[in-house]
Amino acid sequence: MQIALQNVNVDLGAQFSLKDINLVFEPGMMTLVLGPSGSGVSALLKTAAGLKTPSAGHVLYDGKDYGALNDQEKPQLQTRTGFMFQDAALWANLSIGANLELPLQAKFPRLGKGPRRQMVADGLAQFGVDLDLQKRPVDLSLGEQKFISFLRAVIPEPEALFLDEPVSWLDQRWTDSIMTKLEALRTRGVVIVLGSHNSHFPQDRADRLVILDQGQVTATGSSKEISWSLGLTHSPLSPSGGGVGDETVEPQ
Amino acid sequence: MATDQYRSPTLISAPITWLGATVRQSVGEMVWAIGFAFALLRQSAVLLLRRQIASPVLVSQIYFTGVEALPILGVISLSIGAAVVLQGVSMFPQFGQGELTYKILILVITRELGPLLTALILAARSGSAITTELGNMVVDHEIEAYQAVGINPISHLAVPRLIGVTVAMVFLNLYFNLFGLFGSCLIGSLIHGIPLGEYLGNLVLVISLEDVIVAGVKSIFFGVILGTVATYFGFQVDRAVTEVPQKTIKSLGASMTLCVLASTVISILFELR
Repeated sequence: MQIALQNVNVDLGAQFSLKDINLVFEPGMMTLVLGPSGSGVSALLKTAAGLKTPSAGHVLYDGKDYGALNDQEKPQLQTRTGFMFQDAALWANLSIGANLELPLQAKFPRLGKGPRRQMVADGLAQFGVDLDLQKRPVDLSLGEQKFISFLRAVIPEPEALFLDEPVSWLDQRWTDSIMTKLEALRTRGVVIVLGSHNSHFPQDRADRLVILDQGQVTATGSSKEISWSLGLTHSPLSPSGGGVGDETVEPQ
Repeated sequence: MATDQYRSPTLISAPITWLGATVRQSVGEMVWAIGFAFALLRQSAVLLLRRQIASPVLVSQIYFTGVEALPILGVISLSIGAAVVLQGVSMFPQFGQGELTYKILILVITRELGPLLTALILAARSGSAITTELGNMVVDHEIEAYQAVGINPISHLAVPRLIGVTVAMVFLNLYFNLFGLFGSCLIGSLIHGIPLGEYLGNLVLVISLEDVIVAGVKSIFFGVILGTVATYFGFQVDRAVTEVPQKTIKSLGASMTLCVLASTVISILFELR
């Protein structure tokens, strides 16, 4: 699946908005969108995932305009993507098991309860997670909720994966598990888009960095290219790196 | 002079601008609300025909709205029935119109106050709870999470709530009638010594099929109004948790007003028939 944002503008109220975004996310490419708080990182991910409607421009999935799809086609397309929210956003009134099963139910409506549960069990076993699936999200720590949110996005085997602050609140073990899984998904041709406000995020793992500032893309390229372009020896967002630069490596 | 020239048009144009903006916003909101109501009703009809209602949500909604409201509704209907018969039995015979007590009882309990009071209680209990719950789900990004996995929030969350509230409304109205008439019966025989058989016989004589139909039609309409308004205002919450109580109050006010208006319109239509 290829996802393209063409001249996308998103009006997010008085505070900030996305302006003239042109990006293409290719299969098997891991893109990291970096920007300070309020720069529109989450909004960019949600727009690319079809969760926010652009006020101008187009979001294309394999060349098809998402905005032109009808009420039946949009949910069908959504079952092919996965989204991990910044604040986990688990369904509070459902058990952990139901949180993990519901996306499978939506994607494979004819799949029985047994095979669905087996897919969930396999997904948990893959990461060595041993949790009581009858528990509610409120019974879990924030880190556990976040990891369940990751599993909810990954278990249905999406073709495109959007992860907003994927490793915040997680310990090193789970961070490593997520990054290893993402590497495996990348080799299988999954589109991976990560969003973070944290300059300490493992940037070298991404194929491409997109630097966002005040709703505009200010630079794209590999971590090294951006550092070189800005004349930095540090990460483009690290405090000593001088913040988000104005130059653009690839013209937008 | 220059200042006066500047001020005059501002003084005139400012209220007009404000009025225009307010009207435009109100019309926009109304169009959106009507669009939402049509989408919800259409989706409900489609999912009912296909039998694709999210049954856990539907069952919990019927339980919360219907079963948990039984005690409070029982007390209110018993009290109303008792009050009507107390006043009627002591007043109407003075004018030689003792049999009017039964007619008034049916009129008040079955046709008018029964459905309306049931609706008002459901608006306060369940309507506000639905708005609060959906509003909090919006703030916590749970609605977006449904969209992200390909589940339509209207089909999955609003439709079962609308149907649950409507089903509960119909049965609670029936329950209100039974308890209201039973309460009046109890007071009639305890205080005024009216024989139970005579009392029930008189009630059966005055109640008509039209009374039952009016009550049924009203409860279905009220259920649809409550479900639609509550879910509409729940989804109207944008991003801040402080919006939740504001939308809940608006939802409650709109539900009550629309139910009272609908009750009047239905009564008039049946009277004109």
